[in-house]
Amino acid sequence: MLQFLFDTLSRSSDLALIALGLSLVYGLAKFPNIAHVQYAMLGAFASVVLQRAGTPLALALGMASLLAGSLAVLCNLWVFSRLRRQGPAIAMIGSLALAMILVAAALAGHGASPLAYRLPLSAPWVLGPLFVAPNQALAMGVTLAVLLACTWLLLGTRQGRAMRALACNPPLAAAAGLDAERIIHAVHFLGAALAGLGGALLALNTGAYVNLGNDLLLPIFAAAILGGLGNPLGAVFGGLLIALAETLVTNLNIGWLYGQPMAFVPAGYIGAASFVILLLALLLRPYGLFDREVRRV
Amino acid sequence: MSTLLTVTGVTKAFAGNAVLQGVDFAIGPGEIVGVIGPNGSGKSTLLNAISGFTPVDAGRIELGGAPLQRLAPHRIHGLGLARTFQLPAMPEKMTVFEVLLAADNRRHGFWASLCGGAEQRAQEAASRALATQWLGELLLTGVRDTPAAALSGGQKKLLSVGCALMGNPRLLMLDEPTAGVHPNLRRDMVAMLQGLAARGIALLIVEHDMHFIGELCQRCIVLDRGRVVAQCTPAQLSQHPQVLQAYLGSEHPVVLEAAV
Ligand SMILES: Nc1ncnc2c1ncn2[C@@H]1O[C@H](COP(=O)(O)OP(=O)(O)OP(=O)(O)O)[C@@H](O)[C@H]1O
Ligand SMILES: [Mg+2]
Repeated sequence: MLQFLFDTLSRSSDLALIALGLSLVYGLAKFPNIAHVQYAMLGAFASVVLQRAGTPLALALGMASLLAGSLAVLCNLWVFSRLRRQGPAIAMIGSLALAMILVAAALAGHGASPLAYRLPLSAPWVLGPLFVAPNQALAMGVTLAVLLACTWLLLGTRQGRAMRALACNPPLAAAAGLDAERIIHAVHFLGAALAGLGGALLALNTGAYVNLGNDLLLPIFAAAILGGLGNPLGAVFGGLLIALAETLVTNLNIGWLYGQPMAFVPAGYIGAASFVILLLALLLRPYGLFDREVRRV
Repeated sequence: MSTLLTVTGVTKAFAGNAVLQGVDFAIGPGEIVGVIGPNGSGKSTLLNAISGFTPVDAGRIELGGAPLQRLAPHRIHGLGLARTFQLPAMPEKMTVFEVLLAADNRRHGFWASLCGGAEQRAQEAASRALATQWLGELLLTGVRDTPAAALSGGQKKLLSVGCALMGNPRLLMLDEPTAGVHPNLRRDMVAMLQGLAARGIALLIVEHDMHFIGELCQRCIVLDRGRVVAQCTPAQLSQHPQVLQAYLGSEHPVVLEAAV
């Protein structure tokens, strides 16, 4: 049971930063950026390559995050700032195209084989009934620290207030002197930096591989939609629910269905859990679980 | 008299529909000027043009000598011009107080405001004090912590006036500030706006309520189909042949009497 809770937390920590970034960007740029998960994939590659070249791990993680953020600013400058004017549907299709280009670039640059950090093998810590891999603990610790920093940025600073004001009502924000373009650039940077860091931390367990982004697409979007697209902290809780569902499905003994003592859902179907939740969320709570229902006409 | 805002030959057409046709006027510091005219005469478009939300086709707009025509709205705000909207939409996920604080955008360095030194804390305290003051004057203290989107139509109107005032403007442009506001509070608003003018803030007010215009404004600009057809005191309106022409066929001649 404790192990189950721990696995859930660990998986939700994998999803948290990336889902937070997606929701943050959606809140301001008002389109679902499909390429967002590819920033995580590129962040993973950047970090692993840097670390294997001799950069200390902490520095590699930080640099990967900055690189992903910078790439997103360029993408926003060249692609999204123009496409957004044509409406969210066009911008989303543009982001799909960009996602494909980024995957193709990774495939051309590295190939299909995964690439792992060069870290000394360390035995898992045994804490009572719990098995904790040191890498897992590191990823969770960093994620928690960054989440707290983001919460403070959004809720406790003038910058966060400006971001929230702009997300809610662009003309009002402009009339109050906020520079929308600059803030949207900043948010693209921040969102992708979070995704890049999230991907780099994820690679501690899985290594960097070309489909890392594609594998995240469904759970990340499900998490962000559950939390209410554009509600960044909601996305973190959405991620927790998705992680719970995935861990449940993984650990569920369905042997009784087949009259066998032990049978588990094949790993390939685990993604279906987030898919089902995404569908239910869209049908039942399209504005997310935490919607306060203050829309008025 | 010195001028603060000068508008010369401002022209705007939407897809061949000429909405502003060579609008000229000027406002001095501390002056209260009303803009009236039938529905669709271009009043809101004029405010949008001055505040940078609608690019003009031709003409010059200057605030304190600085040309505004090519500037983005947030830059124009930085020069000391604040405005409200005819239909104020308010954020769902921010409280009334937070919306006011977000509308205070005196220059803050990015890192400075993250690191938060003593100066930052003093500025934040000053904005909170200012926001609290406007909440009181606009009778919104009771809804300080409600989500702004949940306010009633009239309360949103008042909040948007508060937001505009948070920017410490030199020129304040209000688009129908009293629409949906209770008559008692309307009287208080006259006093409040006159107080602002006494401090040197110029006011440009689009309004259909002729009582309000009559009590508040020193001068009226009458727009009809995108042209300034008259500029006179509110009392002179009902004697102005072109004004009567503009309002002819509607109930407005009766309404104009109210301004006398
Ligand atoms: N963005 C736009 N695109 C097309 N036409 C517009 C646009 N904005 C305004 N118009 C047109 O310009 C004309 C003037 O509109 P405006 O909103 O300035 O009128 P108004 O004087 O403020 O009227 P009201 O008293 O009803 O608020 C209207 O015919 C309107 O349809
Ligand atoms: Mg109007």
